[in-house]
Amino acid sequence: MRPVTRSLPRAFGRVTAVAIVLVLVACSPAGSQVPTQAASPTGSASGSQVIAEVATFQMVAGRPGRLLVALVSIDRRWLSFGSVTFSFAYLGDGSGSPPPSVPMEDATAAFLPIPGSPDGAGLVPTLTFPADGHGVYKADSVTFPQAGYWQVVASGELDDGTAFSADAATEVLATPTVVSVGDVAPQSDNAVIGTAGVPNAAIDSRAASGEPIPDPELHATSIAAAVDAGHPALVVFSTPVYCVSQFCGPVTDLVEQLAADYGDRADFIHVEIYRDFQATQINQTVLDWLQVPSGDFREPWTFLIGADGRIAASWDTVVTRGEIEPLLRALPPKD
Amino acid sequence: MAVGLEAASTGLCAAIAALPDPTEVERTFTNEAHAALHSLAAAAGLDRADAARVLEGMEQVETDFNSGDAGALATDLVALQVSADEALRALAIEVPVCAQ
Repeated sequence: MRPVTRSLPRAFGRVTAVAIVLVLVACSPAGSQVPTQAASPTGSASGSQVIAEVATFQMVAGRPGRLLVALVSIDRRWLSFGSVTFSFAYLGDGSGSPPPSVPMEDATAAFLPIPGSPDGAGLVPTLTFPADGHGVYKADSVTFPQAGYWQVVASGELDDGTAFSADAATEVLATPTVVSVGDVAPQSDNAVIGTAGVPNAAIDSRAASGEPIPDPELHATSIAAAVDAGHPALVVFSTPVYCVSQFCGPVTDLVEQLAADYGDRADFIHVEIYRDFQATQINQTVLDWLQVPSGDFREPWTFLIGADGRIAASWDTVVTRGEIEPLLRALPPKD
Repeated sequence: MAVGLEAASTGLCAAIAALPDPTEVERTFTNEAHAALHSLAAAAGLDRADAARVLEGMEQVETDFNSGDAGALATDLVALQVSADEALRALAIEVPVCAQ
């Protein structure tokens, strides 16, 4: 275990209300910079300005990926339900040189509810308070043709017929910086219940005040042990208490539910982010898997490791039962 | 409706005012305080001890929603508001007065 200096993620400051909504979406690593020309929110909906934020942690040029965008209004409502259109414009490589025109097709993005939130089946995009609808919009198999900075414009029509449009910028990497599909899974020896010298809170932050470690079935097996046994494993990296985005708790709960249903087909593992939040000590397994060259990392991430020890699938930020369950259902029973 | 970090405090005021109806408390907390509390905990300039108190207080309140312990919920909401107000003061943000 080595301590890592990490400040709490910062929202990109625009106006106070905007800062509030942006931090909902994702943990933005220090030093993340995007061209300023793409950072201004646009669009309005029923008198409420809609702001877009790319929630995907890692997009890689030339690789189909899952692009998530959160759309929120300045009065803290979320755009929920239905579908929207994503369109794209290349902004350049950050050098300041005029960017070339790089064509890219639009994509249709469907609402992806945070686990436990209503999916609004049959509804069109609607501004909702979080108790009524809460999630992001997802386009699958989005392939950015070139690395650099890209503008993503989300547009559509609200339930009252009002058109809206909001844009955000995101960096598209030339090569992945986080463990990716096809990679050999790092055989991390993450702490489990009973590991000597490890405080309970370092196994699950919800056990910080002396409570029993919740979801013990997620803390029975290390990643290394699962791989050694030839077991597929669903691994979630999250910190249910100290998560700055709102997604860690629901995603961890989802993995716990899947463990109950598919424990005969795979091992299920929760890796807590912090060994000691206040001392900014990060669990080594998190660094092994998620740390990017700048030294920072984001969470939550969920990985499916195949029986061959390679990454079979990965999901950042929000993931739903509907995305994971078909892969688990296809697995044979464990030996 | 407040839209700055002060909403962490005003949202908790509204949630406390909704006691003892646990359903309304949870709805108000979710809609008016939850996001602002996350933002407050992530605010630049807030030290990790203050951030930890806010996040741990949120976890406790959310545990109370699940357990249905109304007495604990009331106590923990008030404790969370104290932590949130301390965090606002640490950021030199004026703590709003509870209207309720």
